[in-house]
Amino acid sequence: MERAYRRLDPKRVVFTALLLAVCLSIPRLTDSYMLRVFNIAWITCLCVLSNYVLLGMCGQNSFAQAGLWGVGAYITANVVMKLGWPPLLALLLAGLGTGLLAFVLGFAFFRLRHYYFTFASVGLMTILNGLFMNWTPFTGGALGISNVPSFSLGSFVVNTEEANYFFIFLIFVIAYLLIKKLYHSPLGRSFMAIRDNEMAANCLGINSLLTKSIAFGITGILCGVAGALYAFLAGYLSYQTFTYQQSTMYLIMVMLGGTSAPSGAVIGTMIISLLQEWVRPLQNYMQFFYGLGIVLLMIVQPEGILGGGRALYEKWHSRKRPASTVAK
Amino acid sequence: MLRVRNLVASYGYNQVLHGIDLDVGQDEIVTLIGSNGAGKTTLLNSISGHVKISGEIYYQDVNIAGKSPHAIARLGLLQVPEGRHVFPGLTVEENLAVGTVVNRGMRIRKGDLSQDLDFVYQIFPRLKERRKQLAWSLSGGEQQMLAIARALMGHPKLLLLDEPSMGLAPLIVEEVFERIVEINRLGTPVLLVEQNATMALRVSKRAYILERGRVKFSGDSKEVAQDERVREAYLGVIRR
Repeated sequence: MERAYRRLDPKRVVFTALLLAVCLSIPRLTDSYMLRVFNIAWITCLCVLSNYVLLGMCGQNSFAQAGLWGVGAYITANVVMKLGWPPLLALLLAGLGTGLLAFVLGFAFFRLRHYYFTFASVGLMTILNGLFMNWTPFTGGALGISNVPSFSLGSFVVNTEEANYFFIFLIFVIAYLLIKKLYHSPLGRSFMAIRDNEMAANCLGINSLLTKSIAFGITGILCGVAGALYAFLAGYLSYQTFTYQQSTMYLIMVMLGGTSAPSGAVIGTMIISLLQEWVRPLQNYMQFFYGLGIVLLMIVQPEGILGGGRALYEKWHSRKRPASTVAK
Repeated sequence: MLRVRNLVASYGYNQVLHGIDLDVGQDEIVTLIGSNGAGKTTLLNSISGHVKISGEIYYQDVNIAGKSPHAIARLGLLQVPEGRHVFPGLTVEENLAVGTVVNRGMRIRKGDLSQDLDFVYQIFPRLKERRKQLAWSLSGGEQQMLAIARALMGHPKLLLLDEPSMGLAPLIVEEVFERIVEINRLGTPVLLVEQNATMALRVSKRAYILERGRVKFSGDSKEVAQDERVREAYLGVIRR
């Protein structure tokens, strides 16, 4: 019933169509430099969406996302360049391989509870970055891997910035819709049950160790796919890209946008990615502003932009129809 | 259907339960009363697998001692923990839907849910009115009813209730207990832990009185309620 109502809501349909039109016309509206910024932003969106699944839905905070992103990228480069397998296969292997790695590690990490898992993820991030820097046969060591070929399917090659945009955007939309679906599935509800009250979830027969590991596995899949897309787009991989700082950035993005819905992750990513370009002259002070911003955000609007927007919307609505009772 | 034999539980060096024997039969409400720190919640948590124990717990002639909480829940022993553990960020209906994971796993379609929902809404009509509301916005009594209803969604074979009356107004306590009796009448045995001994003895068939980790006294609830020692210590009746 709920779903049918949603599908019929004309305001929602118009809004979605408009948003889609804007996203699809971005390549026409910007130069190729800005287009690259957007491409990276959509890839980042995948990593930040993984943060939404793990933190927003399952309540587990990880700092390892950038590392998993790197694993996906290096898997792709190796599969395409050393094995000579088709890029589509590399994309799938990057997603599944990284997902499997995260899932298996999840079983070890989630024996730790609450913020101890976060500590373990910091450790994982550090280890992965160390591997990227030193494991020369797999990652090219400090020199990195250059000349990763573009994505191609048969004779169809995604080698222009514009083609890449549509390709990356398509993958993003698929991931976004799947996560929306996850939200309404029993698995998604189990994630949220664990987030809200782990003991009660156990009492209801939810295997929290397995379920949390699945959430971490999904995180791995999203980051792995993002890594593959990055490898195809950039063509050059360096350990300096996949850093702890990057993971922190993902967390700031999801907190800024809000963790209550996947759209929060997208809003936060877009704002910060574009802000970085617009305020380039202030580059040296950005870390300071991020820090200050996040402190202020937690005080003023802990639920992020999404939470703030929702509160405004409700206020506006209750003013328009004072008779309606807003549940409090 | 549930037989607890010589159950011993400790937190570190601190032994809490010293050899408990307890039975719950088909179709009955059994209550466990005792003062603060007597070990009531520990006993319930031991049965549901949240506390490490020694001794035997037979459920339908299978020893379940040492199994993990979710495995025990999947056998049909569903616990409603002390203190209204609802999922505050989910709506009433989503809360109830989580309750079906225990016997359906991750396979479920919308249609399957409606049957269970109807059943639960029949017992708790108030929840139907509130079904789109987030659980944190419910009153205390409604949250307690939601916690019980959520367990019912999993078709429990034995319901373990930990202090359902805690922190509720007397009128609401009456209502919650009426529902518990109704659930039992529809065929689910209940093991009830309570501080509110008067209420618990009124609705239950048999009672165990726990004192410092030992069963001090047990028997038919009506007889227990008449016993001088019990009346003085737990029902607040002063001997003249």
